[in-house]
Amino acid sequence: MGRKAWVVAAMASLVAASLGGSAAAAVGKGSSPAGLITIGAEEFPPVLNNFSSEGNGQWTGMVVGPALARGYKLMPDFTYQPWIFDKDCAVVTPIDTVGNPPFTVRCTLRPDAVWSDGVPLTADDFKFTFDTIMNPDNDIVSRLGYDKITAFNVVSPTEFQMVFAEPFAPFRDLWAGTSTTVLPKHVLEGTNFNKVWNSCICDPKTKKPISSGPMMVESFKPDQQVTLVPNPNYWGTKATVSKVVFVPVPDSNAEVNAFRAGEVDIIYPQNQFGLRKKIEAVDGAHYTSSLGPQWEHFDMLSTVKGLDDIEVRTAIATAMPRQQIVDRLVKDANDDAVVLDNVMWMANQQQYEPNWSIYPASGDVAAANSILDAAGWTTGSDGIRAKDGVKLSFTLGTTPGNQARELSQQIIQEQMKKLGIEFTIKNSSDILWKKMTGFDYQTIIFAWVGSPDPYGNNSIWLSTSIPEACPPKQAKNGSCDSSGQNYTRTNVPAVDQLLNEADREIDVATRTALLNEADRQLAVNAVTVIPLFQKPTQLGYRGTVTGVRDNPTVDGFTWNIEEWAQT
Amino acid sequence: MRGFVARRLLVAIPVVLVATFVVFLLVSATGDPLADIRTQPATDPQTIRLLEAQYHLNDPVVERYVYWLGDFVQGDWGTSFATDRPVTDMVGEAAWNSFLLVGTTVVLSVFVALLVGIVSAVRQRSAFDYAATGFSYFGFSMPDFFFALLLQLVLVVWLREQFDVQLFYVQGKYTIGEEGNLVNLLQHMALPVATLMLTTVAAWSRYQRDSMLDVLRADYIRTARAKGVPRSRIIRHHALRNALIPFVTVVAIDTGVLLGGVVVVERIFSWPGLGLVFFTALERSDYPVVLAWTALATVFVVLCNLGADVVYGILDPRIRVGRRAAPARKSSREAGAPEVVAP
Repeated sequence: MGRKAWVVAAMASLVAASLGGSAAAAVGKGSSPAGLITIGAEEFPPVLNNFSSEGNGQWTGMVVGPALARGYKLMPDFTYQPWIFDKDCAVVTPIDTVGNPPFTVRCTLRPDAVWSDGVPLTADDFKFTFDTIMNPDNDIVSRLGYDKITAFNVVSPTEFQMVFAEPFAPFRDLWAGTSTTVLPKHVLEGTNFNKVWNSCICDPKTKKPISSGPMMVESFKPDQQVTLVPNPNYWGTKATVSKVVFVPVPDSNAEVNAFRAGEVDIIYPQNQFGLRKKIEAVDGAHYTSSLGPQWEHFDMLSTVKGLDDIEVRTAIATAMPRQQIVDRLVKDANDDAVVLDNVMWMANQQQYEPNWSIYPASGDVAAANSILDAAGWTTGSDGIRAKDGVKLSFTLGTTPGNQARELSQQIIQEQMKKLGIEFTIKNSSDILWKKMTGFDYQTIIFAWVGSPDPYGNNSIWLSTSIPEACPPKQAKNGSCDSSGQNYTRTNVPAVDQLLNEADREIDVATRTALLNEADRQLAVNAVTVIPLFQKPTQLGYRGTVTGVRDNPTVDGFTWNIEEWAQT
Repeated sequence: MRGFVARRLLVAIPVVLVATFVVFLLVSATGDPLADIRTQPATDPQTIRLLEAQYHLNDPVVERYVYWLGDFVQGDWGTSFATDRPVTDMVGEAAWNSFLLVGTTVVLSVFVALLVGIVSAVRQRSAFDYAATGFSYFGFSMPDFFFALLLQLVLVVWLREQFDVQLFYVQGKYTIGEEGNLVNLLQHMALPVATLMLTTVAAWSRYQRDSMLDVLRADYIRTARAKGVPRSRIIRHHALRNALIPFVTVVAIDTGVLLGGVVVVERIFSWPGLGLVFFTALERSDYPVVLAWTALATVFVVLCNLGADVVYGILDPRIRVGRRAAPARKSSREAGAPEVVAP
């Protein structure tokens, strides 16, 4: 090609680019086409199988949740609303004395519930789901509660009964939440569940989407896009949007930019400072925040010298400036944020009682000092208290790079200095696995994920759930049991008794009282895990979308997708 | 030449081994693929044990690396811990997108850098030269991620909020419903490419300027001028051709480095390329994917270096590649800050 030809080609390219840009500018107003709602996903689901270890994240649940119905829908106030069930499951076996017939729960289904291909959704599907969960060859992240079922009886297409060896009060949790979706037996039977449910919610043979909810997963392009379309055969309120598309926006700043530019209609980012103002500044956009099920806490390993004295732990709890932490970290996102005063129930649950309010939220340094003085911990020349050669000097760890937690550390460190307790910040990326599970830590800040029923958190408190510190070789050959998540080595017999009793108690009021009593016991006689606050959710949606309501439970903000509309 | 190429490719093998082993050590020491589920109270301990066994997490690090390497050399790049997909599928799909971004950046950067470098050298100490120098400092000192966000704010958000116009995009490769539309693709590529070009143009234009200045001061150029050869002919035929030789080698070397630089840019623009795959895998401690990316990036760098040597030999017949040591070269980044132009 000659020189002139090059010049002509270059000019032509420039003109074409300009025309292209102009044309696009004319049509590209940024907003989604009618009926299409685009959602920016900070943590794009790696797979669609919400039962598996890979797909256990909240985003997977929010993506597939609208396509796979559950027995119950988790409501924003943490209550259970029958969904596939036609009413609340009922206990059919009275349990009054030892030796009675086993504890049986009877559930009945809506007769009009069908899969998207027209096949009725029956009790056989529930049985198939139970069998899939209990199959040891399947990668199932949690079998908690299902392992208590001794028999699963299908009575009729619209009724099944679960038989437990002993009373099991939190039975509703078995069929509620996005990790307990009901599986379609007629398409999954005989397939390898570990493989076929990861990349499509579909019939593995025909690849046609299958759904029992208001939407169907039309397509899934890993790391790029998930598309939901309405399920025309949905038996409940039908969705009105024509399409909902999830796209990855992993960078939180870019996520806000995409929202402001109208490239995404809804964002649900991790809690971050200043986000609320940015969302509210967008013309017509809405911002909502709820107190979610994730709660931050300060943990003390109760076997560390110094921390093995409950007076020291009590003094730390008494001086803990929890209100300051909430004001600095959470109020920016949520005006209603409060100090969490219960480790069993979340502040927005009806059963919540502020049992930890025995420790002043603002932190009472004088009272804490008195506790330590009375316990014989005296301040040395270096300003650090000591007794019998043991200094109150501890490490305080968390995962590095988490701004909120690092700020909490600084606040706590400053406050505890006033008590004569030294905290040295020691963060590491392996603190939540190698160090915590190996008891190679002293104090730590992180978050647990709560569920509507506290049963799921028993393994944090029961003395039987204290894991053994297993060297890799012993863990590998199974000679050492590293299971259990009581990483603070909390051991209060009364708590064990109350929790076990609560699991068997089906009277809601009595059970609530038992769990609150367990919480009080933990506050007074353990003081190993000090609750700080619930992490707020942050939901932003553009004014062109209506009907969006946040749901702080694991069901997430897509829980009412059938009510959404695009104007 | 063939022998030289073969030798260089053989040298790449230990380089890949060392790079992947170091990365494996770092990933193993700092992350746990099961970290998320370990902190969920309801997690079944049996599942954790099953996954630990499946991923050999309780085996010594060296042993685990050998498992991976054994499979890798047989063409089995393993399965992603996070997505349960073959790593080859994940990487193969994303590689094309990354090469599209890197390729476009290189082509455009060469064009712009050559133009700026030549004009700066020919009009040394002119206003244009000072402006180009200033731009180079700006390009060198501006972090990729910051510039990317700045572009998003100004050229996307501001245009949208002030004029309701969308010329460019913040995220993805296509707008939903516009898949396959070339103009839409270019609009999505524009800002990531511009971000990547900032550093490359800044560096390459300075390199070209310096190289051009060296040549313009050479005796044979003075002779040509004395003989009355027109200035434009001197620049195009005598100076530029010689000044291009080091420039081309720098471009070839830097192209290899660009694949690493694209990681941050792809994440910010949610561009579905290797960088995004790598970053996500790193966050999940998904080391089969991280190692595959490392191996691929290492091979790419080695190939680009090899390409630089070959091209150098082709452009300059005086150099007999393979018969003598390869000429000493520097990447533009190693060359350091641009020369300060005296006032």
